[in-house]
Amino acid sequence: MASQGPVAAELPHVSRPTTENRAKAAIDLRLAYPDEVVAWRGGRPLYRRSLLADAAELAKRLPHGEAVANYCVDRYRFMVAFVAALMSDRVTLLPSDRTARTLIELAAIHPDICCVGDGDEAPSVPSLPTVHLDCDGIAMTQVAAPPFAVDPIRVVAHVFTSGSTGRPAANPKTWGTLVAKGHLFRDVLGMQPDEPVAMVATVPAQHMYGFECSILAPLMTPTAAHVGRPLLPPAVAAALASLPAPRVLATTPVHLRALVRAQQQLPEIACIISATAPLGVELAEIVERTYATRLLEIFGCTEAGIIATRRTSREEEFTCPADIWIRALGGTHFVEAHHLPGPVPITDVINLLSASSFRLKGRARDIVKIAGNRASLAGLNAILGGIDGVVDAVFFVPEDDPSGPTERLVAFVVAPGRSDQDIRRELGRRIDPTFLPRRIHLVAAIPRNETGKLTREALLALLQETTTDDT
Amino acid sequence: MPPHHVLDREVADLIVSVLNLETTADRVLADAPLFGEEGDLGLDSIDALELALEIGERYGFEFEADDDRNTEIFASLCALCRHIEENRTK
Repeated sequence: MASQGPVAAELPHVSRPTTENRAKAAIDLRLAYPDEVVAWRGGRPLYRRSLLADAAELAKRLPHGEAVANYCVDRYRFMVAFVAALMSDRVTLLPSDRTARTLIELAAIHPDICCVGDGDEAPSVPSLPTVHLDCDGIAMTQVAAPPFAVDPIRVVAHVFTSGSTGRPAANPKTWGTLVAKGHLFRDVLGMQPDEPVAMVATVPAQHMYGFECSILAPLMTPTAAHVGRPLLPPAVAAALASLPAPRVLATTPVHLRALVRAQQQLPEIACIISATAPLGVELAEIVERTYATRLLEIFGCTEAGIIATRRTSREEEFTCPADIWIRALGGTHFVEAHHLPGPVPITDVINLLSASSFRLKGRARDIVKIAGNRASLAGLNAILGGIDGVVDAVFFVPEDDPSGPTERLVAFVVAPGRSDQDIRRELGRRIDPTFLPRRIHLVAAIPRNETGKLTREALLALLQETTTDDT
Repeated sequence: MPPHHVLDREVADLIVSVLNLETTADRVLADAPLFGEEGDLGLDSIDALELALEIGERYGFEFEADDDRNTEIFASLCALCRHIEENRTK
């Protein structure tokens, strides 16, 4: 359908990167399959043809600049904005949260940023150009999108996490890496590569896991994503019911626990995948039994994406997909893959069994992951400590119970003359609500030792003390 | 106390206990937004999920499949109580 045939014929032996890349981009984005479904909204299929046409149209009206912050909630519109950025040589920024503070920080790194959003969930920073996207993908177009070239080594996206300094940390992704990830994600599902699959995801497209499963897989493979992000169990069921089989549910242990607790009935699901937090064996068994399905747990990180998977109900060890391997070097484990630009350190504690299998022994102490959002404790501490009137402060994860409900934070704060409510309000403007501490304990001092270090034991003792005082 | 105030207080108690908040039930204001950056409590979608399950079990009904509608329902304590009043079976 697209121009890849003739282009390939013109180029039997000669290497001409631009034209080759054009042919490659056509293959990567499946331009040859315009009638394939890329998304579902309200039971209606949205086609690749419309996606490419809408993206070409948006590419023309994006304001001048090199970076696009993609705040779209609707996954079809997210894809449109992402492909429009690809077509017009812009880099897509995936913000770690929806606070104005993060957007201002992104604008400091990319001064000519523009925001693309599709609702009122995007933060409003009046000085930055904002494009509102309302294309619904339903109008059938016959206009073929112009061919466009994407160099595999071009950085096309930055996925942001809150870094250890409290500023957003960019994870650059090349086009070649993202193409590989789209395919990899589809491969780990263990379904026929040519079989059309329909997916519901309960995680946002702006985070690496949601980006891989609900955006990249649909762009690169015959996988179609439900546009929504259902939260409550009946909403998840309704979203799944609006899709044709075979269906896949991409979710987290928090959402799975809610489905089980609500005794929610679901339509037939070929495969469920869970990521972002450790999945308890018991929960995995219940989910597989209740929904007569396979439940795969994904181990990954923003820097590397998917690293390994396991069928939690049956396997203790995680296994890496082909072409991904792990190496121990000087006490640290690194994940390597042809599609990654370099080795990526693994921050969690693992027990390596072979180059492609391991047991997860413990979570990294600095990283907290809550429902798909990830933050560095050091970063959160830096933000909390930066609030006016705060002399010293530290966030604390009271327990690390993988089978518990939802991991929540507490904070110890030394701030003479300020109330806990004051601090909570200030903090609410600066960090994603997910990471707001459940309790803020105002204390006289943080129990640092002579070198300024804090031990977990000292903080646990302090927690015990303050909790006893409170009651 | 008028009946709807009894429910207000009951639900405020439930919010504080389910989410293990440090605030007290009488500080959960009836009309203040519960969620998001502007919300006094700074609750998020995972809190909504946990609350919905608890409230559904306590009052014997299911929240709807339409998440837009649920955003309205969870807008404030007042809106939430109105929804419970209309749908409760126990």
